[in-house]
Amino acid sequence: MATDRGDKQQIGLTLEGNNAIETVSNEYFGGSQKDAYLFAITYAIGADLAIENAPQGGYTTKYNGIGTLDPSGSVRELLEILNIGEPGRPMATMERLAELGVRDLARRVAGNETMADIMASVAAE
Amino acid sequence: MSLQFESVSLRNFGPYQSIADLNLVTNPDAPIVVIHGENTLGKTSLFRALRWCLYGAPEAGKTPAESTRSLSDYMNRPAFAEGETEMEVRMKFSANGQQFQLTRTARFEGGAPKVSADLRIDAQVIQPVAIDSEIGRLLHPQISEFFLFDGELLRDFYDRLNSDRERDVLKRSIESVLGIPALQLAERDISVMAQDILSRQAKALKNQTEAEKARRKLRDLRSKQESIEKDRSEVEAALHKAKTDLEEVNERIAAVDELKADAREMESLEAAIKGGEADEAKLRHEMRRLLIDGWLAPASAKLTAALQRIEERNDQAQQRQKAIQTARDRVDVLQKQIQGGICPTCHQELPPPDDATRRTLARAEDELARLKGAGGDQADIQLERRVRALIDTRTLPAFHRAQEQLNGIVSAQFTRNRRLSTIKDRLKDNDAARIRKLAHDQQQLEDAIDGYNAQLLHHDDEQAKVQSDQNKLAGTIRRLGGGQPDLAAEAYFFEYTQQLVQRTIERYQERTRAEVEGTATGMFTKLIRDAEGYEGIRIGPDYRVDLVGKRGPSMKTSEGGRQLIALSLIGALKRAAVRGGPVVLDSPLARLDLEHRANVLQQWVPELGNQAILLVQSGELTEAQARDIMDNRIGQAYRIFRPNNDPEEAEIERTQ
Repeated sequence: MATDRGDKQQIGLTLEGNNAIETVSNEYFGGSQKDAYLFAITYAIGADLAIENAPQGGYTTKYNGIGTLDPSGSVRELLEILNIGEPGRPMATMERLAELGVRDLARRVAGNETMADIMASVAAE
Repeated sequence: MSLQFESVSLRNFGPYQSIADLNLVTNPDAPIVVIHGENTLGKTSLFRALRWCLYGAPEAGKTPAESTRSLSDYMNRPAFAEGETEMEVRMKFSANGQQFQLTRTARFEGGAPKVSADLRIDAQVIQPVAIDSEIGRLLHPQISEFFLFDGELLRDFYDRLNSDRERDVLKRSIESVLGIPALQLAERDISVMAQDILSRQAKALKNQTEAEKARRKLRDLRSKQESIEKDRSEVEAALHKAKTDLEEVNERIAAVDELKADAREMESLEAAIKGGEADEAKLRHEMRRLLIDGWLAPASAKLTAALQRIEERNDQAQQRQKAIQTARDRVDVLQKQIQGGICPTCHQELPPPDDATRRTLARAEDELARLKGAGGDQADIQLERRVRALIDTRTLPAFHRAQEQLNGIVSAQFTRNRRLSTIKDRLKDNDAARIRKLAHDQQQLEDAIDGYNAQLLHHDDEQAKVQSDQNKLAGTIRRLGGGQPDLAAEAYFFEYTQQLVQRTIERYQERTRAEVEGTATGMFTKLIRDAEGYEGIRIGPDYRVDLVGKRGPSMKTSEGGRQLIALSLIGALKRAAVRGGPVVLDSPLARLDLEHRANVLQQWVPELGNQAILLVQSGELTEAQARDIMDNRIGQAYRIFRPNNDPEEAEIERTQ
């Protein structure tokens, strides 16, 4: 739940994002949605997906941002280094990036692209 | 006419990937082609390539259909591994003043090989259905065993001559070589004509009682003759059908053998698929781990770019600090110079201050103030380290390699599964009961063929009896007289002709038998050590072969002795054969001792006619021995060798 200027504690995905993460996690992460979620965040960053295109609402909670997803703070550090998203709200940024990332990954997997192709395209961005 | 092989070309047959136009041309003065090759190098492969090209079956005694199953054994494996799927043998030969080019090709593209043949006589392309008969006219497969001879079978050859069933086959083959069936057909035609004239004579008799008696006898004879002809015709038709059916059953049995091979292949495919599945699961697990552990990898390019920017920023900050430090040092030196004292850098006493020094100090202090006032970030080495720690350069190439491996596995699994599916489709329509029934049908048909052959022999006896009765009746009619003189003359003529042909056949059979016996004995005594201990070789009318010693026939002899008998018989048949042609012998000397080998080469080989191709290994004949013994009678000499010490690769080079 976000406060006016405070960050979110619990983050998740929209219904469409949930469907997408199911496809991606089953295909490449042995069904582990948490691993797919993290991967989708960095994928969205690597693929330059525009954060403003992410849905503004409709997210259902999946994880405690700090406690479950980013206990080491690596994601927050990444966002800070790359200066991505709204300053001081890394969890909300992560949520939107994950939403964009899983949707795009699911689209590309459905288009018969292999993960190696997807990763190579991101590396070349 | 005389058939002569001119060249042979091989592509992917046995160990030969490419042999182009191996020259086999010989002339009457130098009729021998010697091809040397040590054991396992590929002599027998070359020999079988010739047989396969001519008859579609690499091994003697097998039909093309029976050979199909094992044909893939002859495809050159290194070539197959490189993706080639065709095996081909081409022979060029001449006969009757015409040039022949025969090409046989097998394609291995999964399932049973597809075999095709192409024959050109001069510029004319022969229809595929007519190829076998064209080749059969030149060198019939039934007699090819005598002239395309595998030396390893020498002992079997002798044993076969002395078993009833095989002897029958060999007797017919030998009589074919000698041209006797043609004469027997002529005899039968004359018999029909003689019967016709008898009929006309009987009608012309004056004594009605005797005429009626003769006519009745003639009717009986004709009825018997017709009955024999009808029976013979029926038996021949049944025999033909049984042979056709047997061939079909044999083809189906060959297909069953293919099915067994399929079953074995299915087992190995299933094992390979299982292994592939395990490999795939393992690899997918590794790839999953790579993605989970390397979750930061997609952002690596962005982090790398950020790192570059941070490094540049840090470099600039460090350079700025350095410039400030330099300016500060300069101000310090100048201040100390004005204050007097020792140079902090060179530790020399500083010169006393002057106005120029004070002006320089003022400029240096301005510069230091300017540099300090210019601002800019401090170098953040800590940040640089943090970014560097987040960059993952390992996951992407590792995942790429794993993906390539996975693609390979998936592709191989797809091919295996598709092949497995094809095999399963083929196997599903066949069960053990059907296979057992085929074996039963085969046995029944072979028994039926034996029975029909026995019936035909019985018909020959009956035919001889009718012939004898016909001759008696002819004598009776002649004695009765009263017939028309021109009919009597005609009857005499046919009777005489018929007797002449019968006697000719008997004499020819006897003469050729005696000639073969004499020649074989002559050859044997030249070949065998201590020839004085033997009377010779006796060949019975049924071609039973006996070795006759000083104490009578059926003399026991050693394995080497039996081989010499077989060689003698082959040589004698070759000399008696009505049609000339080449002789190809694979390892004919391998089982003979040194003395007998020399005897065979000096005494036997020169008897083989206008072209003899010998495939030999150094244990039976070295290149030097060949030159010493056969000298200028060698027309062509070659050596088989392995260019790369690979047992599945061989080439042939000329040595003379």
